[in-house]
Amino acid sequence: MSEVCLKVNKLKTSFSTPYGKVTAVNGLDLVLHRGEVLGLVGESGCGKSVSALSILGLINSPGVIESGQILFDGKDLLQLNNDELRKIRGKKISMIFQEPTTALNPVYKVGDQIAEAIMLHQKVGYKIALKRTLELLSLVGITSPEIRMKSYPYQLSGGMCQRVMIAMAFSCKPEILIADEPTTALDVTIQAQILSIIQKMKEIDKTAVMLISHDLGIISENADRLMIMYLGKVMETGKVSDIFNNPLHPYTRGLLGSIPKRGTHRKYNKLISIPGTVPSLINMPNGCAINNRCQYAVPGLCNKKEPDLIKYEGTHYVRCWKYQGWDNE
Amino acid sequence: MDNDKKTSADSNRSLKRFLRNKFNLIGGIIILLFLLISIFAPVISPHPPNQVNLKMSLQPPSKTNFFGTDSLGRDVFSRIIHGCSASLIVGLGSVGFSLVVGSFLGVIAGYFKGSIGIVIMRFMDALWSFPSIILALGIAASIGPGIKNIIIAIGITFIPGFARVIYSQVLIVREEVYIKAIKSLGTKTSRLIFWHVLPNSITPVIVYSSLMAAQAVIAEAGLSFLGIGVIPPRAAWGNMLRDGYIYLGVAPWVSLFPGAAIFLLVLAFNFVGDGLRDVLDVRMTQ
Repeated sequence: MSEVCLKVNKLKTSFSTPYGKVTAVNGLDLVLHRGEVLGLVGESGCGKSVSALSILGLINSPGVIESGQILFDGKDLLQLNNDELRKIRGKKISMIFQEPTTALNPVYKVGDQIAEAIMLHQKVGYKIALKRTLELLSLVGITSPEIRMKSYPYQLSGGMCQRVMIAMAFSCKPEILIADEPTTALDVTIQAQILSIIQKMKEIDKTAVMLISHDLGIISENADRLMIMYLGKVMETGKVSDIFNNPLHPYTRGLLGSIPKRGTHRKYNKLISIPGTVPSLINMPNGCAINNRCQYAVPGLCNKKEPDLIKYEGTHYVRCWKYQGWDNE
Repeated sequence: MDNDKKTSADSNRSLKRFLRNKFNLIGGIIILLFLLISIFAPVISPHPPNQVNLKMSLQPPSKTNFFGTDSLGRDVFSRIIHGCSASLIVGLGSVGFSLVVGSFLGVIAGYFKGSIGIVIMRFMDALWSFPSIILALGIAASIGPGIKNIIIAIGITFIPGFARVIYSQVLIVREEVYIKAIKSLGTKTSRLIFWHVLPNSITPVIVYSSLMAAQAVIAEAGLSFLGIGVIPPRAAWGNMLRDGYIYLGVAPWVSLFPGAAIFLLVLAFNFVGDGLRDVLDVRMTQ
């Protein structure tokens, strides 16, 4: 594939709580190539958002990045000071958030907020920034942008706010866009529009996109590669087509099986649900993270030792004893 | 342009909502009236405020002296008019002083939390634990009387209140998604704090300001009454109370009218404070 623009090695982010340490991201490896869309999928609390925030250095106390490397542009982002990091945020790597209506500052007009983002990283005056804002707003499909840019966030709908966020995120032509559940709070028709806008903007600037979602439908339509996360770890990764055609990990199979399919009768094709719930991150199970919810779990192996993320074929990797030859142990 | 109309309509609506409540209207009118009185004091006062006329001492209210005269024969009505500016300047000045300093300390403490926050807020707690009038008395006594010094003295005693109100707001605002989003754009921390966190935390402080303005008027009167406020012979309502209290039995008007003036101004500030809360409360806006 094309050139690598972001490489994350063994990232470990944890939060200390009164009840013990919570390791939200536990040894995450990730590679992002220029111009591709990488989907990050998993249940709530599996560390998707924390991974994204770690990359931008936005983890607030009591959270800390314990170890790992985030290589971008030949530099380890974890070694940079706040000033150096600030020059990358918004300019090289930008982010859009889950709740568009709460991700804009309520006391300023949206046009001024976009203009501020432009002036932060480009040496232009307010007037030129406003002109560029106008172009951006029409690019993201906002009708009559000269009126909308004078609106306050509360005067706009969720879809509009998300368009504004996208305009802001692309204002400096970033190399990487992290989209943290960009459509979760929007209704379905708007979801499709927002995703096509992200695709369009991405094409213009050749931006790599990290698309975080728990909606496999969205991922299958928009992502090139896919990572399935569970309890802060990658369970399976590979090309979207590979994973959807040949899901290896029992957890991936469970996720795919829980999507209702059109044209099948309910009687003959029951929806699968993964038994049990996500265990507390404070009391992580021994061995494989999912052994207590997995129907194939082998007692004495899966609940004792953790499998590695091994290559199945090509770019398709999986973390399961089933493919690591459990008979050998 | 449609939107410009909308925004100006918004502020018009706020003003309308503010004035719809009769108490706000009354409070606003009284403050406006006192403001005009202090600006045009030399024009509207019937006598010079410091003109001593011992022949006319302790005269009851009459056609020439509406509110009577004090022990030195000075016209109480004219002195109330001239004393108005002192009360207003101290009321607004000390609130302005503590608003700026208190908000600054509160927003820094709330945003950074940690050791900076602990040091600032514990210092505020210590300051808060002094009875405010005693503290103001001590400060005023050490830096001397005079309007500027009373503003500082009263202002210092008010700082912890402002710092606490804004601190509690900042603790909420700093966790908002938009703060994270603005950070993700690479905004400088100083700009983030003063341009984004502060405006979102300021509303309750504005309400608190008008209530504290009332407190400041009382405190100024108290300090002047105790003789370390506005320097005589300059007219101030607190001074006038003191001049009159010896004669309360024979000439109650000397203290009664300045007392009533203090009461009116404090009441007006409190009315306006309640009204501001109604207008600025986000939950009531939508």
